[in-house]
Amino acid sequence: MKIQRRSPKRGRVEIIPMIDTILILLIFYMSFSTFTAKEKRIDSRLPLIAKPSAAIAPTKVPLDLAIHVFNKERITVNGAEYEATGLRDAMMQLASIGQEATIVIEGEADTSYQAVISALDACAQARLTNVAFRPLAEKITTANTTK
Amino acid sequence: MKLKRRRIKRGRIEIIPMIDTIVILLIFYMTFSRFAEAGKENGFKLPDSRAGDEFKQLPNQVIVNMFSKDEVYIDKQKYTMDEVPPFLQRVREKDPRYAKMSLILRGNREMTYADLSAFMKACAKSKIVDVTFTTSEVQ
Repeated sequence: MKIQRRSPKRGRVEIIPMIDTILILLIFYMSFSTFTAKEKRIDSRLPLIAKPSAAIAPTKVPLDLAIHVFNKERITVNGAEYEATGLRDAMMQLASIGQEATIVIEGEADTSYQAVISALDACAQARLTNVAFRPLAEKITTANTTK
Repeated sequence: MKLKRRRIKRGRIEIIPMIDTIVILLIFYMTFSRFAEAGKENGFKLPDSRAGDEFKQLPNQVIVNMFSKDEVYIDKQKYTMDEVPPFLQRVREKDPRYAKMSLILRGNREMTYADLSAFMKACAKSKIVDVTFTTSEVQ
């Protein structure tokens, strides 16, 4: 008896399902790529001017720092001038000696929000958490009355 | 002459293209529902920071999306900063979850300290002390 050989099937690439799959993968990666910019949070308490806390050990003298933000390149701490990266180093140095500090951040009316957040970021990196913001003072306007 | 009748083709549902379409729609809606859920406004850039914890929203937190003091969005509704304290007061009275309310500020990096100052004054008016600043992670 002669046994008939099975003819081997030739593999074929199916184009249409492949296009479907590629399209789905493309949409999937395109959609989720928008989430790569990860959001973070920095917590704070308002208003700023913090009352001296009872938790502070009596041997430590709390230090008041006023950070005035003009722009990202010009930030003053109690009058001493820094830029954003220099401020971070200064804050880290302060934190490393275990000095309790109350930090008040203030700015000019036209100071950018990014520059303010950079100052806050420097404090957060140094783990200095007692940070407050001083809102701009209300402008006193006098009305001119003409008779 | 005898006219031949056209044979009526019976309709058939193609399963595989239908599954493809459903999967595409599913991915599309899943993706965009995430924006709606978080109450985040898009189209502006957050300031960069290195420090900070992973973003999460607590049940008593309200997200404030701020372009400037005249353009504030809460739950897709546009307000000015002057309108925010009365709105927050209404929310607080309506929902007991917000009795101890705190805010998440998603501020545009282009805004100024004057805008931020207006936000802080609105917080003080609403007696809100806990504020979380949302930033974008530096790559």
